[in-house]
Amino acid sequence: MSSSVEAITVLSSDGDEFKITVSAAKLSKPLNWMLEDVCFSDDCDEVPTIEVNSKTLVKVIEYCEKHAPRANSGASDSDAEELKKWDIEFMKMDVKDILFHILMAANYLHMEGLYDLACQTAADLMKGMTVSQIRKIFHIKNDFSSEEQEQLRRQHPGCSFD
Amino acid sequence: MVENIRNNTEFENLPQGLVHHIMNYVPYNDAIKFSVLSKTLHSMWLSFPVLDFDYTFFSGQHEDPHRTFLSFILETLHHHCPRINKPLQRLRVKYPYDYRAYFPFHSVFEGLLYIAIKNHAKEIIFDICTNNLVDVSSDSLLSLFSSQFLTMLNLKYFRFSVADSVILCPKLKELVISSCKGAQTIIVSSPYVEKVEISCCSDLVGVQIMGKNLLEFCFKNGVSNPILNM
Repeated sequence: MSSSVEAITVLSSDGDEFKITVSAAKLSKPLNWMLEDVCFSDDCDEVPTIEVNSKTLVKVIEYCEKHAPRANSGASDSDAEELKKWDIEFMKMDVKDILFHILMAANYLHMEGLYDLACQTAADLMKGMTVSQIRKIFHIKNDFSSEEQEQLRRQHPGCSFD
Repeated sequence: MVENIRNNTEFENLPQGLVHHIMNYVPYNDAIKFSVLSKTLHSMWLSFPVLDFDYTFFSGQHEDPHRTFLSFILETLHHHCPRINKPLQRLRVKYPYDYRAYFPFHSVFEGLLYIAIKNHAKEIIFDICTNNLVDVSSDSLLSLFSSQFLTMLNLKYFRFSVADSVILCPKLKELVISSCKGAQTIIVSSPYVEKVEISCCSDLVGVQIMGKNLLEFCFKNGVSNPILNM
């Protein structure tokens, strides 16, 4: 790989161009493969497309750039603490607009750290909530009849649903 | 998948593995709520590879909590067993009361252990307390102690039908055997085992641990004084 390459350009599924540094792209296996392809290929003009929309890709790249220094070199405890706080701020986002897309993107890009973080965030949102609150938070449509609901609730006598 | 990323994503369109990962981060008693949210999530709940039976959620809430707990276990097995994704991540039973003799909990627990083994369980935790020990057959013990999947095993109040147990599980990291009878020697030769706790096993005469990664070993025995070999 040529050492002169510090960042690559990628396209989002909406067709917008984004730059991602080589060290940040290493957080994702598929991104890393793409990067190697670009660097080794003779036809350097070709810009790879990532099947993630622009709004989500901005966030994914932001996460990668923030986490890359630590992932590549290790960090002190105070850095880890700072990063944890940053993660919490970073995950404050609209559920339907962004969180679902981040979950899908982290899954598709094999980004373990972001995947765990996003799943934990989704889980935290439903802790201690009632069934109707959870449906509202995650925009879930109830397609059970009230009889079916009753029957299912009876199967879990130890759980308070409301 | 690509379509899902482009389109407006709904919770129910998330891949099953991803939804299961979210369920894993939610306390089990909250995760149960997935079963009533919608039809798609109900079916994802049924294949969620975790079985968790905790009596503490039942005590005080019902007229006959023991009976309610028992029927909850049977009902859950009936609905989940055909659908569950292998490997089973975890089976946990918490029943810290001596059950009344007329409820067949010991045979239910015996059956649960069997189901966990058959579903390649990674973590098996029996946090129980009883005078009515749970019998484990020699076949079950053999499968359990040679399981390729097991990372954590916690058995309390079981009766081993084999006197000499050799635990081979290659991925085992944590082992707790407590208040069990029938075992005279326990040999742990899992290479990555980090924590071993053996306590109150009155028939025990010898323990041998051959793991090089052992960090924590706790041994308490009431009656006899077995030979330790590490």
